[in-house]
Amino acid sequence: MSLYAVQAVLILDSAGERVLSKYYQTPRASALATSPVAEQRSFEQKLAAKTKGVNDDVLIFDGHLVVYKQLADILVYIVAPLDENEVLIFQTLTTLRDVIDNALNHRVDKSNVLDRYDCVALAVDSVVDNGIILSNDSALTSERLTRSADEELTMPTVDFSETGFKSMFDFAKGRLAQAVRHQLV
Amino acid sequence: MNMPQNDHGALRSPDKMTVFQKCVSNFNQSTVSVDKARALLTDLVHLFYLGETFPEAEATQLFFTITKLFQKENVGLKQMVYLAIKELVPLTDNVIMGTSVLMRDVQQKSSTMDSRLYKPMALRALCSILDASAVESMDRLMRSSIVDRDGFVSSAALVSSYHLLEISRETVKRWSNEVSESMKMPASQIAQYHALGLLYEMRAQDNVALLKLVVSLDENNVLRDANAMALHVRYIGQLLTELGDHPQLLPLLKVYLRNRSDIASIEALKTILAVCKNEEIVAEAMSVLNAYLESPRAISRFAGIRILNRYASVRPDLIAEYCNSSLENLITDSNTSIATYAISVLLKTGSASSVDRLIHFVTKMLTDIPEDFRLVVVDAVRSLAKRFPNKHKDMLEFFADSLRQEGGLTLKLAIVEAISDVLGARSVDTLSDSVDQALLMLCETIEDSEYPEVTVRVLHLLGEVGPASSNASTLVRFIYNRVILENSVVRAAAVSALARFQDCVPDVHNLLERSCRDVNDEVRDRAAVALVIPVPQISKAQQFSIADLEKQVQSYLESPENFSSAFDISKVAMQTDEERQRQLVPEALDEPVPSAVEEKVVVPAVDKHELLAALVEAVPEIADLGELLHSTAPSSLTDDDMEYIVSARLHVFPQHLVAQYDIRNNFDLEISNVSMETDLDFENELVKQFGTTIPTLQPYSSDSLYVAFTRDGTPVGEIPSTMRFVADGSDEDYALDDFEITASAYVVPSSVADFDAKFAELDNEETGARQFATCKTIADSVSLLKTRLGMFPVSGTDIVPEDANIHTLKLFGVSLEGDEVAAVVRLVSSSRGGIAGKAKVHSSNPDLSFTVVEGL
Repeated sequence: MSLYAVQAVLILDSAGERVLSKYYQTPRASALATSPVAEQRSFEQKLAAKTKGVNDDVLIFDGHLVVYKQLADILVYIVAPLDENEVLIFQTLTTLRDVIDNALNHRVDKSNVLDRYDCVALAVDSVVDNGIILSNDSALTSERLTRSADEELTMPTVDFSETGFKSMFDFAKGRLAQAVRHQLV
Repeated sequence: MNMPQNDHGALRSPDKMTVFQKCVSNFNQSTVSVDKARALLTDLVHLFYLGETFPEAEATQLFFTITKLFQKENVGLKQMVYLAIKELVPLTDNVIMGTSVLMRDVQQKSSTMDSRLYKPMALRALCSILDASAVESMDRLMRSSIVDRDGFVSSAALVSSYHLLEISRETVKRWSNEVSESMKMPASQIAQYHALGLLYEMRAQDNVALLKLVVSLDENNVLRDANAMALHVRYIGQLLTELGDHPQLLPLLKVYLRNRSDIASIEALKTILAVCKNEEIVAEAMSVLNAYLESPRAISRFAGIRILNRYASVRPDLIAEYCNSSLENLITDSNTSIATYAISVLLKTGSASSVDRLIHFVTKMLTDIPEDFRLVVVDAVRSLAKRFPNKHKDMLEFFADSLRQEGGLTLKLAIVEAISDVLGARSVDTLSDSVDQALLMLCETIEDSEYPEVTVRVLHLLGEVGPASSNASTLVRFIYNRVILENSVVRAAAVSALARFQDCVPDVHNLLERSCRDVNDEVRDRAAVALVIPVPQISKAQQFSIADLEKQVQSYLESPENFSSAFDISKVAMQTDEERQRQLVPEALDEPVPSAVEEKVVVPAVDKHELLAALVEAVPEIADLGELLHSTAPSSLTDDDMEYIVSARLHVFPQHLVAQYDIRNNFDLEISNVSMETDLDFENELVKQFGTTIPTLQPYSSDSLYVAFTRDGTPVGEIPSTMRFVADGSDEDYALDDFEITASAYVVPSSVADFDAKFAELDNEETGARQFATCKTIADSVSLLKTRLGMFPVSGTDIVPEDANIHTLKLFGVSLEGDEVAAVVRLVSSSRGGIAGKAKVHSSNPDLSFTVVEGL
């Protein structure tokens, strides 16, 4: 019944070491959320050992529903309570994967994640807010994230007066594509 | 914290102190570049996301220096600032000061592109620092944000409101109009999910409002978002469970089955199979479910097979009908989780004909699957074993194989439980070869088991099943090895197991005698008890009624005269397994029974209700006195060899005392009109109300008469009693010993876990001293005190060494009003003869301390 569908978002390297780990303190939090870091890390290492190189997408692990994807040399996980909707959680993982992918210009690996940690952190924050799934639209969400402090803003403006018909058409096409995508979800 | 040790990680992980110092020094300079500031904040957030944390003082300092960055109007920087603030909030109490700067960002007009990029994040950061009173002041801002046309702002407001429920539910509830509006006309798809989730929380306590909401969602086809639909399905399911079948709800669910979104459809499947009894809908659900089992997407197959696994034991027939062929394909699924669930389902639903094949199959694959799934398989085979007891030979072999393999404690225990199930089934012939083999295999297990828990469980099982086996003496050898080699916990279990073999293996007696010299007292006790009390041969189906056993033991312990003969266990009522299960069920629903015996009152042997009923039958007026609080043990008022033998006991009622005199006529003459004259000296504390008479008392017969008093408080003292009757036509008086009312009338013996702590905790100290002239030894005075005070001797202090001249007795009891009382009595046997006692009494009630000291 609760919106608190996510207990943790984890990004681990292939040795099971933390790249990013965020356990959410919510009414449905995993016991791990308040565990000492050593215990969390042992959970993470066992999880990585179990999932590395096995592209199963999903498993029940230590009393949690866990979905994951391996992206080059890192693994991205979402940890959820056992009774959560598997497809819903997996969809959220897909959204998260796509937002990270966009933020890093489709070159996701450990080195890039560490280089552009700000983008990855913002990506995670934009998809899950303290255990609640915040977004399921990776394209729109990516548009809202800055990649550095001095970049030009990339968000499309809806000002048609100066840019002419072509950009208006492109904009409409993009929106239509998004709408179609939503219907398919 | 350990930083990642590999090269890459070590190079990139920021150092905590460096980051802290750089943040503080740079952010305090207005000249810091936005690039540099964002880089530093990134390092800070990176630390948090690796599990690092800061002490409160440093976190507070960081928080304040970071708020200085709000002066810089740069989106890229602001986004990182909000992220850092959210991480700092749990570490410091002083965040509320940040409210105003965050407010400024949230209240920026949405027209500028910049503000659209940071406003939702600012709103979420702002809500993370609010306390209850600040939430109130945010009322207008939250209302307008919830219905903002920017989906990101609306979602941020809705999700933040959801978090705020924990802090200020009442304030959040006031926004329900806005939430409702944003659910009907969401600014983005997912905002609908957030709005619906929040709306539910606002109405969760009210099923009528919830029903209205749930039904309204369908009528206008409001929901567009798949996540929101999944929520809708769950709410329908909850209402169906709570309200029973509702005409409007089931059709709603059925429509969701064929929803174009897997999320909604999977949720509908879960719900229907969990709550729905309608055959038609269930059948449709099964065909939808089967389609998921054949889905190309692993996540859908996984979701489908999990639902099936849960449902398998409910309707094995349906699963066989709809899904069998897909299931057989899934056994070889590339995803091990799916394959294992498929096996588990097949095992649960398998028919007698397919069991052999299945068992053979899982035995082969068991080594290849991860441990947690081995557990799933073992549980599945266990339930299969229950359904097909005649296949126990194969099952036992399977379990034996599994037990031999490496495995964790949980798995091993599950296997032993499963074996115990199979061996315990009544249809299993304990003399069969397969059982013998299983027992020997269990013996091997304890030879090299790494888990004492498993060894103890196996030893118990061997003790239960082993004595009937043809290999009993071999088993004894294995068990005795544990006595020689293991720690005391295992030794104790082994001794208990050995005890069960006493009847069939003669040498066991010697082995047990050896264990009587064990260094551990529990092991010694068990061995000693086993040697004296043979294990009763009770069939599994029948066990003692625990309630009756308790009652009988208590009445046996009540008077020392009983101790001349052994407790006769054959008088205890028996009950079957089924009866016990029935009794256990309602208890299981109740609150857990407190396990500590600390304040448990020792229940009088005879049920108070029965006793009261007997009293009322004898004297109807007693019915008006109210609840029977307590009854004392009888005490004799005459010597045992007199013509008339009288004993008396006291029944305590809220405002009354009833003295019951049991009179036996030991004389060759009928007496009549027997009554009791009581000469009270209690002022107003005790006033006689009425007395009954015994019309006639035949020679060598007994009867009772009653005298009722009104009481004020807890009077103690003597009731001088004289029996009056008519014998041979003339009035006679017969003087009795004084009937003493002691503290035992108002105090119930009770045990306490830690007497000394309790004694220290209770105040209201009273002290008193007394000479026990009638007592010859300290032991005499101890038993006298026990009965007089009505208190329980704690930690064996009632046992007095024979040659002791000094002894300390510790007593504990609970008054009828529930006040606790503890007494420490120092007893000294004086050289002049007689015993002197000095008592310290502590109680939660000063009057009670006084009563107890008075009663000495």
